Amino acid sequence: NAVPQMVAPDTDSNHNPSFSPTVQVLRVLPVTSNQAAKRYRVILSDGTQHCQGMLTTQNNHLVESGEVSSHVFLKVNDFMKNVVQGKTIIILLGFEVLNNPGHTIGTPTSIDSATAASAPAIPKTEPVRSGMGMSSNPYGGGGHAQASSAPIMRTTGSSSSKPITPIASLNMYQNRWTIKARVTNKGDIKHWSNAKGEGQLFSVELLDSGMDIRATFFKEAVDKFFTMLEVDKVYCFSGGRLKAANMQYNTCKSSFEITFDQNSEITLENDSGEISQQTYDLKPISELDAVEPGAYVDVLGVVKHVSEPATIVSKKTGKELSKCELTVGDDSGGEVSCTIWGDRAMNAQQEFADTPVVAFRRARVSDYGGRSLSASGGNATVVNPRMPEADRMRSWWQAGGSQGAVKKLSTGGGGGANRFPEFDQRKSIAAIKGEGMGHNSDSKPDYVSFKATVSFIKSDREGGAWYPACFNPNDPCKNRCKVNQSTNGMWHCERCNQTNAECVYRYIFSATISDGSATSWVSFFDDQARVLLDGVDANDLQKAYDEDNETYLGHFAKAQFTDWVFTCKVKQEFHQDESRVKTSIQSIHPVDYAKEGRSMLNAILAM
Amino acid sequence: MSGEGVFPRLNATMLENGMGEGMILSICGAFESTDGQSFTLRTSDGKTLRYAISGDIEFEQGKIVEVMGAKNADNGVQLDAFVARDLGQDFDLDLYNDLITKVISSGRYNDIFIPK
Repeated sequence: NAVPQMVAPDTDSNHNPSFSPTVQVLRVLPVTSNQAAKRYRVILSDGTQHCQGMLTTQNNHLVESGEVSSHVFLKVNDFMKNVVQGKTIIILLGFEVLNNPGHTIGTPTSIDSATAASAPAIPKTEPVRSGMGMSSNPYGGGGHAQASSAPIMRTTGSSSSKPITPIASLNMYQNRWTIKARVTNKGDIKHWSNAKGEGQLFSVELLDSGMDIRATFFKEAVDKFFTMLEVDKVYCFSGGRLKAANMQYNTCKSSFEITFDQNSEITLENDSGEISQQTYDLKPISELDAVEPGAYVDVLGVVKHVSEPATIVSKKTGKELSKCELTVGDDSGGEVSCTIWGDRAMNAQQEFADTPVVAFRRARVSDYGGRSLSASGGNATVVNPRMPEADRMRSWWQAGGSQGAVKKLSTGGGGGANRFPEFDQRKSIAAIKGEGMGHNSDSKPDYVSFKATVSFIKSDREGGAWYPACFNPNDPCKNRCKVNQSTNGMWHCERCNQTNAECVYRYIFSATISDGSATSWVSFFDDQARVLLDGVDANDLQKAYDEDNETYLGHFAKAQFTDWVFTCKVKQEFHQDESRVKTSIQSIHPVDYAKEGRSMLNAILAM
Repeated sequence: MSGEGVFPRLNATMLENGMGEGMILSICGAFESTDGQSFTLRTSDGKTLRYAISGDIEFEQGKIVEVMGAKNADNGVQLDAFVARDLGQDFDLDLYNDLITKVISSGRYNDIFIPK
């Protein structure tokens, strides 16, 4: 009775190590197909009934060597069950070859006529019983007995009359299947035009209770199905072709991809709730440092901060791209920077306001700034997803998770040079020396943020509080490289080799900044100095120096004793044989006193 | 609690609870209305107090101020107002209220806020 057990509807597949039935191979038949690999079909018998089976191509050599041939006994350790057009086929994944008695044992009859459609809802015992009754008939062979068999019971468990194949069971051996799945992701229609012609396509991701799979619709299928398929609804899909998944773009768990054309059939199903909204394989943020860059992870966390959106030019496509950084923390205590791209970045400050719980599916891990994440497009990023883990995350946040110690995986320097340093990310000026900053073995700089007051500006630098920079606004200079003045008053740039009558003045000067713990010398460069000096351009200041010294001094006096939130870069610099730790201003933000006050009050109350 | 130059910082609730009896006290809030001789102040805890104007006070509707005053049970007012100091438009009254209730009058930091 091994065959009925293998074929029975609730034997899912191979995960029962204690079930290793012994069967006899009645016949081995090569399968002719238009696919390149040769495959062998087998008839398996338990002495009473027989069923269809298939060998995996890895075992083809056993047939070719004669080890697996008619009448040999096999002990099946690992198998998979598939239903094709009402017939069950056992795919042998692992087996041992036993002895070969040389003839058929018993008079087995086909189980297919007895079981008919094996939909999951059928109770196990019924079809088996009628089959058993049949086989005790003293008929030889298979044919006639089947013709006068008990009426074929065609009970179904789903609303369609077709048996449903789990996505996890899809394989290249069967080309007719129906899956029932939820559309979890739907891409936009893409058009292509190349030497071979042109066309359109769109892709979806489908999820059932066991697995998800990517499917693509081409040409006329796009017109037929694009508007019909809605994300989050459940459909039955049939008439699709399988191919191996392209792992470069495909992040679904299935090793296959489906192609649908205009002859495919898709019907809307009732959402009985058995298929979940989305499966996540959540990685705690604090463990991201062990994840290889380039890998994809699912992350769930609270968005603590949203940066201003920024536009960059993509080095790859040359196009403008918007981006925005989210600071995400979870209950593992980890915190990481996650980048949102495109139009969604422009609205991110509204969409992610009020510290929502957000699920990031298939975010790419990068080693930028230590570790950071890049969010996938579409609805892979879900704000306040409906899942129990999200509720737990929200409870953790409200119960004090917002105040807890944090392990930052993205450093301040890596998260975008101008990112506002949050209150809990700050240190004090005394930490620069106190923590021995700038003394890294690989000469990498340290970054530190604090709120401080500008106590003194050394505006009387030799040559002025600026340097002459190249007039060339393009690469490689971008108005930044130092130029030298020749005897005829022209400015020459060694970087781009241009000589111009004019130069652009950019700020460079030293200053001291102080807080309650210490004072430090720092360097200011043009971008930050401009903010400090209330927007006054170095070129204008340079003119004032000559013409109106009092106004010139007045600008610096105004900036003295002003408060700012600074991010500083602390790095060792080598001059001849000496090395010194130098601190320069990376970013400067005005102090929002009410916001700072609120942060301080919260910190006091948490003490 | 008061000493030279030190005045208790209260809101309406704290005043109702009997704090600041018989001394000059400071209450922050926003000007609400005036009839020339008295004005009402919406305090940092969202309640309303009526002051008699005793001194040079420039009323401006909605302006956030610190009013120095003292309790007064007569004339239909609750307090006399001596001077009102402008606190600016971006003053966060909620933050201030939390400060005076949760920190200053909590008792935990008396050695910082209460003169000996």
